[in-house]
Amino acid sequence: MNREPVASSTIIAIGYDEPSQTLEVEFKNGAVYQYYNVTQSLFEQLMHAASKGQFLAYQIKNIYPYSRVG
Amino acid sequence: MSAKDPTFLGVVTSVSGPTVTVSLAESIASGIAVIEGHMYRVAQVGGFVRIPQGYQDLFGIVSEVGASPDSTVASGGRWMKVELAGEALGQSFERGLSQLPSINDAVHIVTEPDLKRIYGSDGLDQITIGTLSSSDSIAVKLSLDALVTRHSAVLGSTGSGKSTTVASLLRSIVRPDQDKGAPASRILLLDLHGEYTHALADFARVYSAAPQPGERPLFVPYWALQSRDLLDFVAGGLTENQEIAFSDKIQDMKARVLAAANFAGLAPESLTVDSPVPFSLKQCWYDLIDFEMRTLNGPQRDQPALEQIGDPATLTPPRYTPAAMGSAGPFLNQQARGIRRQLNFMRSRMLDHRFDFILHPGPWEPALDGTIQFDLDRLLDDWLGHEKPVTILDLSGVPSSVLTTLVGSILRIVYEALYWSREKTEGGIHRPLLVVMEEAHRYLSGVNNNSPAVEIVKRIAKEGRKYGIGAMVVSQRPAEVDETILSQCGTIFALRLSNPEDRARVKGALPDNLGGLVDLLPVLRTGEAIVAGEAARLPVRCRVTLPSPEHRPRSSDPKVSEAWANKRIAEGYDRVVASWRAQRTFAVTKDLGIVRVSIEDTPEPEKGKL
Repeated sequence: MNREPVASSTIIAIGYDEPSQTLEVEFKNGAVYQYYNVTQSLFEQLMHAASKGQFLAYQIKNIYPYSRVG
Repeated sequence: MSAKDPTFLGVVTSVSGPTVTVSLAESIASGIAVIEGHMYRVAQVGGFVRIPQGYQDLFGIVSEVGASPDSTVASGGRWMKVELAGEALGQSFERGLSQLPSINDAVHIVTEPDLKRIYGSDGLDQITIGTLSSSDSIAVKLSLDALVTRHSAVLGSTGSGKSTTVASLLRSIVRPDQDKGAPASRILLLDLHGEYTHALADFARVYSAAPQPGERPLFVPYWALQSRDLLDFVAGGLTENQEIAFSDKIQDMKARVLAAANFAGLAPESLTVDSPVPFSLKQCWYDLIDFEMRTLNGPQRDQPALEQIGDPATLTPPRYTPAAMGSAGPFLNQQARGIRRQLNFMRSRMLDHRFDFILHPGPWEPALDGTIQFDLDRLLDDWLGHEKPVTILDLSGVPSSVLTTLVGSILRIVYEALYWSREKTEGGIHRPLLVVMEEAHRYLSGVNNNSPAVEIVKRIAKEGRKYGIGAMVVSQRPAEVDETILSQCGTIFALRLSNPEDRARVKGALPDNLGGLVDLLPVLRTGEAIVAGEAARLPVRCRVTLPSPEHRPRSSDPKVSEAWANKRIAEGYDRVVASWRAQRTFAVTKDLGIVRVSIEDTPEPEKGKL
């Protein structure tokens, strides 16, 4: 996993599945990760963050379980 | 002999073969001499000495030093043993000796100008790989020709800097950022841990057996393998008769494909079962199993009692009415070859998608009638003919049970292609190939003597030189690498090694008579190597150039303390099992079908490290 502070513009696309509280993020390098147990409100905060890369790096990575899916 | 000369060390007291004993002069009081402003360590193991012989200078390397306690001389009877390695006439240095020193010849310390004489020759052939351990200002150069054609081995324990050394060597060979680089070099690297992808990214192309998004998949078409190797892999152990059943079928199928399509260069009468002609393994399986399972009806026992036809594409066997005991039939096929078990094994191999890269090789997978989308030229072009000088075959996702087969197959395809094309510009002689084999002990072990990988590497080691194919064997366990292969390696890079067995093997493999120098192996620093053999002018202890951090192989060791210090987060082992079952690291427990919306990130100004 990428541990460097994420400069913005590393993310291409974000998706969210409410029933399973799963956040899916597609990165510029082609990798797709799922983050589990992410609440709806956190997802909304993420979508409103000015830099989604930084928000993801500091609020979600290393805090929520994840799995690479693509 | 002038005691005033500051380079003077002592005199020769005995000569036995290339081993010379030198008695140190009393004038050498301390271990350090200052000559022309440079500091030199005197009489140190691994240091160089020069013995002038008229016009010639003999050069040697110190292998042992000591003192005789019963000596009456004030200096304490200090002596050193020197292994002679080469001689210089004027400015040209050559390995090997035309004469030996005699008693009382003066021995001198080797100074920078002398070393420049040895290493100074600047030519296309000489590549700089690092600096002398004892003197940072002197570059160590190797002969690229000898390095590639006479094969080489990089040996060292885990953590001694093997992969960094290999990355650095490849960088020195290709010199990607320099004008006088070698853009046409051709290097094939078998990377077993996926370490080199990042380190060599600027001049390598990567093919991966378990590709991640954005990586090129590695395919090794099964039909290019030797039939013995292929059958060993897909059908397991076969008796002679069973093997004949299979290879007759394969030969037959290849002949039919050849008759239908024209493969340049191959005449029908010269076709053998090993000719690289596509055939459908599925169809081969179906035809054989159909014959095996067949039951027959009728007075002549020649009417197949077929109930349901199978499908080779989905590997569904046909169904026949079971044979009855009585005289009414149906009857068993008396000509069946008794290979049903092997055929079932073959089917399960074809269904196992860990082996997809070899049994279902993408565009190289023949259709049921043997037609293919791409031929082998496309494969070789991909591996050897692209614009980057290095090709990395990332084998990190390969099950170890097939590693030897896979490595053997890859090398065989490459070797056969270059061997037979030796009179063409693409062949090995006009564009030589260096094959770097990482973790060689895993597939070149001496125990399993007739494994396909050992066989082909032995062949490369023995005759590759004539056809422009060089091998570089990299291993942390030299004792487990096949002895013939190791002994054919003309140049050895010995990094830190502590295991006595491994050290003994390296000592035996070192081409030069190095004596005590080998005993230094356990105390070499990381990234330091003893380089000896064909390519090195003198055996040297050398610090390999350390590539810049982004060009170093990624050591993928988990950071234990860091990981264990983290706060625990919720874990779901269902995901773990899903991945395990799927044999894919990306598997999910259930496909949620999440729709992703592309987003526009508005970059904030960098606030530095948070």
